[in-house]
Amino acid sequence: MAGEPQWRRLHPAGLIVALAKSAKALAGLIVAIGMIVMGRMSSDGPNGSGMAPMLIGIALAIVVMLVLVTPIVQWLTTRYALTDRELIWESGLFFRNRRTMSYDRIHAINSVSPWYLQPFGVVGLTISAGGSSESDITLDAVDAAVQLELESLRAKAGAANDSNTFDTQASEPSEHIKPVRDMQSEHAPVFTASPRDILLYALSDIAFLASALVIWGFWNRISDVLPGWLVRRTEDTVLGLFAQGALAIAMFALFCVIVMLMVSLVSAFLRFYGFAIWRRGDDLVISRGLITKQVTTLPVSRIQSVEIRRNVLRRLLHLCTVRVGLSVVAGAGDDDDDDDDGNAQSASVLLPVIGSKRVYDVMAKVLPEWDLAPVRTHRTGRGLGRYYLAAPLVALLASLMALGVVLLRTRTQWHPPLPLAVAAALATLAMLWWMATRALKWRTEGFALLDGSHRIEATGAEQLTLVTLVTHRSRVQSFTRSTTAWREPHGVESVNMPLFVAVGTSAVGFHAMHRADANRLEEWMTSEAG
Amino acid sequence: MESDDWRPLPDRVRRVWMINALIQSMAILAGCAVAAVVCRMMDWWQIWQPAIIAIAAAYAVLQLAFQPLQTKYAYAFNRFAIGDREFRIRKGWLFRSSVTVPFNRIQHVDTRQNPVLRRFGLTAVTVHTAVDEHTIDALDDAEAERVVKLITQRVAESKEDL
Repeated sequence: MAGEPQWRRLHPAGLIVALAKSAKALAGLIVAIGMIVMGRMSSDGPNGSGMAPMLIGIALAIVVMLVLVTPIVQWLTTRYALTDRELIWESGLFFRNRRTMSYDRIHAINSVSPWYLQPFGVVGLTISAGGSSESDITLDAVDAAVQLELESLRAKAGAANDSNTFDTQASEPSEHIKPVRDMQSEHAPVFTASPRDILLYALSDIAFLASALVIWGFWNRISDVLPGWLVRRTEDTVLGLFAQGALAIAMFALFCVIVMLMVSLVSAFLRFYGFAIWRRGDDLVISRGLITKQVTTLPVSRIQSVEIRRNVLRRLLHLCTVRVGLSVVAGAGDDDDDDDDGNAQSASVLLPVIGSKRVYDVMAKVLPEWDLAPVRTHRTGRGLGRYYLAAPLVALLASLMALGVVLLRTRTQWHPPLPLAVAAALATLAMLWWMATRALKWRTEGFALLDGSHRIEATGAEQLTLVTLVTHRSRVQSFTRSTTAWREPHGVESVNMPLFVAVGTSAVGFHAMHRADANRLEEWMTSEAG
Repeated sequence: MESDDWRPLPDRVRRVWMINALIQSMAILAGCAVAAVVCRMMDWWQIWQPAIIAIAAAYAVLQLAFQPLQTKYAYAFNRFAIGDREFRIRKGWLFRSSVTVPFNRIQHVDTRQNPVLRRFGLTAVTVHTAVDEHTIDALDDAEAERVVKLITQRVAESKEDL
């Protein structure tokens, strides 16, 4: 009969993590309570009824309870155990939660080492089993040795079950479970990203334009708490620039682009500084991060797909990025919970940026099992340009007509309001964008069935980014064919194949293809394993 | 797949769809009535509120008016098939789609019976893969049980793909 598991507590340094998270989550509430109390005090005036001290006391009590008591209770009531077969986690005072995860179900182990935990030799672990992040087990602060212990137990469970790894000749698992710092001294990583690589990644990442939205959102948040005169003066200064002519506007735009590039640069270095990949038996160990170190252990067998991505800027520079498709969100949350999506995407990045000519040689070292090589794909959109471009062309013409009407009207007595003119211009730009993305899809969509037809390489475009995706037939979950009453007589269909991927491209799709190609793909997908 | 392998839904599903559409339209119209009363009481009755309420009510009425045609159309083109290796569903005529799910991708099978389906002795059957789900809108209760057993048996017999 199995005995009671040997329960362990989180490291006391975990209290720092819990208190910091609690304070950050409740910062808005604390500010709101403070403002209510101050407002009440100022409306009471010097001859107030004396309610103010009581209000302050109540407010302080609420803040102390929320900020201090909740995380302390959570730390006290959280415990975990590593048994022979599974990891067990329990937490909660009134509502006890218990989660059990067998070692052979673990898809990824991610460790995070923020700067304030590093002096204690403590890490935060997120253990993921396939599917949504709701089933993850998070240990906020444990000794770094616990990660090694988990990885050893997982490797033993995998070897005992004769799991579906590519490498069926794995050695004894305990031989190759070593701390990352020992690996760093004993083994050369199969890939490291230099600071130059990270700089190129940041400068060629079109998403840096999104930092403009981040800056705008930040300004909206702080403008509510800044003094009104400061906000007005700042806004007047900016608007004043627009009145000074085209040169001033151009300089201001250039300044904004430089600021956004700096934000992108800082973000990239924080996420990817020291990026390195080791092969440890059947695992990929990926280490990255400047202030907060993240180490992700990915069993190679859990990788669902491999994508090579080239956005517009990277194509010009002959660069690409390699990502892997995972069935689990294998990125532990950093201090900032809002960055979870960014962390998940970062965790799926295998090579942040690499020259297009080197990518296959490097991938042969990182993932030799996938046997990636340049392949000529069969272009499915050949001769079907009108099915890709008709709708955006009609929409573009309609928007151009609307813009033309608005512009013509400015010459007559009726002057259209500015928002209408702006909307017409934006609509035209949006239709142009749609046209460009569809044209790129038309030129690039295609597929090739690889070696013995267990794998497929699909090419296509997401927005203006070229994507080459390689995956196994077993990752494709279903096959959907769609057409219309007027397309069917011409034998034209669209196809969608969802993949078992939580992070990364989650479906292989073709906007328009001939029926013969669709039949071929469907037959490939439904044929039995040999 | 031979065309005679495609099986239609039971005839009674048309009445189910009509009743569901009626309930949905009644709910929207009731919501519009409540919204109108609240807006009038709170003196929020300018141009936008009546316009939005009127559009929602018109949608509900038109939806109901065209439901017999939609039902006839949906029934005529809604089919499913259970092959040796895969499960298939086909829908639509103007916008046609067909979904193929190999048995070795199916994680589990659900059945669902709301009060309207129960009244007509029908059951909806849903197959789940790791990332999506596909539903046969309605089958006779006994037929649904047979289909679930058949799919479950085929799933158990299917070989794991590489």
